Amino acid sequence: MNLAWIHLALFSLTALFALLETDPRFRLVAIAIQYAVLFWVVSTSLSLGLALVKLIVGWTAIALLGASLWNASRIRPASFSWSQQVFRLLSGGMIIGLSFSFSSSPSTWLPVEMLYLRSGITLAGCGLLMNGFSRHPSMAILGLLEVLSGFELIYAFLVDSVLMTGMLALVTLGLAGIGAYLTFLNSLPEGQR
Amino acid sequence: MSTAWLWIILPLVSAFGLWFLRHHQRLSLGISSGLCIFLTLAAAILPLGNTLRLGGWTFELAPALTVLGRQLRLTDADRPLLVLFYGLGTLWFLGSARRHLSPFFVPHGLAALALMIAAFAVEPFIYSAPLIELAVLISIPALIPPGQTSFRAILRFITLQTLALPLLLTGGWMLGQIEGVPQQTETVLPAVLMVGVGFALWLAIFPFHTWVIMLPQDTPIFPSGFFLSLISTASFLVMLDFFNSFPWIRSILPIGAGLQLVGWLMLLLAGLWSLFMTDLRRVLGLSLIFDTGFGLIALSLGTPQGVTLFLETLPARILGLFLITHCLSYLQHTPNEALPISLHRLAPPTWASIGVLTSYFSLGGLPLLASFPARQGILFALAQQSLPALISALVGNLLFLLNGIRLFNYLMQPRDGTMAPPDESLKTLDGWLIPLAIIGLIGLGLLPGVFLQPALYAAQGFLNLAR
Repeated sequence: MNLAWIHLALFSLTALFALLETDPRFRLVAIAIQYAVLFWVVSTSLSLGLALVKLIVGWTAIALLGASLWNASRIRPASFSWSQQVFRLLSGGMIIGLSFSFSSSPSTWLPVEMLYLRSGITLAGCGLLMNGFSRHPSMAILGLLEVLSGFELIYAFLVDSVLMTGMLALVTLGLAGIGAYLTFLNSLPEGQR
Repeated sequence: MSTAWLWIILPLVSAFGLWFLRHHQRLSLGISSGLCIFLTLAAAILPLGNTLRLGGWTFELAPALTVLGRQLRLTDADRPLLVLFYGLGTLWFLGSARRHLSPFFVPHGLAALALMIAAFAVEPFIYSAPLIELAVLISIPALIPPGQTSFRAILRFITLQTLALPLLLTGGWMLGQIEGVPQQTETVLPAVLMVGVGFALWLAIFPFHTWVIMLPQDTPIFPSGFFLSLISTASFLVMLDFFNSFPWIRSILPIGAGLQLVGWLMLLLAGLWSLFMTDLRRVLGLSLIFDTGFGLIALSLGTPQGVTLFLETLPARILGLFLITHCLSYLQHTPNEALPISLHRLAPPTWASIGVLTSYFSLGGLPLLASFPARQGILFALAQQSLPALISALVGNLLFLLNGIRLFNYLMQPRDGTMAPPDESLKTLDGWLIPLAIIGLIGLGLLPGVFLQPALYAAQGFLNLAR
């Protein structure tokens, strides 16, 4: 079986899990696994050092968000109704369906294997859904991180610039830092804000 | 020494230093304003790329700095833009005195300013996308006041700005690949669409405009006005750089018609929405949307005159947005910035309410005010290209100015029952910026030639468009 299928399955499963899971900690774990798979994929197109940068930066971002959530005592697992979960599942399913609905034409514009293009679109789409569905700042930012990791998956096949990798790493860390800062502000008791 | 060291790296390093002094508001304001004045004067006086002799010392301001194979290039043609940006910094930092802003405003504002300069200096242009995203992220702590509970506008702002990044990078890469063979229209179209949506997200073009209206309502007006004017102006310049890098796109796709359509649509929408405005804070976002509409129409002309006219509008835009924000924050007497500013706050006439009206009418293109000469030129040029577009633009402009008359009516209404707060605007140094900015807007309207020469000079930086 083609390795790309395994990667696509792992990306889709973790993306759907992060979308449906109510406990933010498990969502973070799912996105951390995505970064590990991203490292696995991009190490085939980028140098090992640059791929490692993406992994370490991704995990650092998750750790930042995780630490801020850990300190935010007021955050509890969200409670979604049965219908909400079905809606989320259907939306996530539609994103995966959408990624498969593309004909091979995008691969004529972008020299990326079609399955990785589908993986990138799935991650970006599910991340966008997570961002839109979340009210809590950390989860909205987590959604954006997922969008960016979907993009980085595709972009790694196009550009292997050290400068661009560094700038994207800064953006990822910056986003996570802002997410952590907003979570911290959100968690302060009324009097201390 | 390279120009990038002076106008990009020095402010970045200073911003880093000021971060540690952020709780000493006066000191950090003094340093940042002083630095901005120095950089504005340096850009106005020093010829870039030439050797300078100061006594026995010789300096050479080389135009390019190479970083990991990419260049930060600031040439002599960029001098008017450097004056504009650091002039903007000077105004806003001086204006922020005596305001209870986030302590992060000065260091983060200065860093964002330097990153924006880097964004239009970097070559190739796609590297400007992560730089602008970094500037956006840096702006967030400066936008959040103590006690902020709602992050709705902030999250929308971050989300829409971040989504532009993948689109611009992917589209920019695709265009870079086909630059040699621009006949491949089937590849050009998706690439241009991606880049177009990316710019629409950055510039808050309809339907991605909501954050521009929400941001001044959910965050303190002063920093949101600063970052709105900074981000939108820098994004416009990056867009100009993009058209300059890929001039052949206009010959393959009807870019001009698209920009024109979006431009007059934004004018119409801003004009219509302004008539239903009840919260004065919305005037900032609506003015920005309106001005962006005119900027897009200027760029849609596809002529050297269009580029010059666009560059000519920038000083009026920056001064107008500064004055409107500065005055609105004066009118917001309550410490709770989450409360709306009623239109009744305009009465009785004070320097602040007169400032709001002057900047509103200036941004609306009223004759004898700063934006009018360039707007007149844009409308004349548009008349030669498309009559329906001209009529739509004029209707939008008329609606926007009609709302100005409505605001003027509120200004003249006597207050009943409640005592008007005393006009304390001229008791402070930053308060004096209001009459000075009003004089500036009227002066620019009366002497339109002042910015024509710098605009023509700056247009040389966009050689492929200015030919």
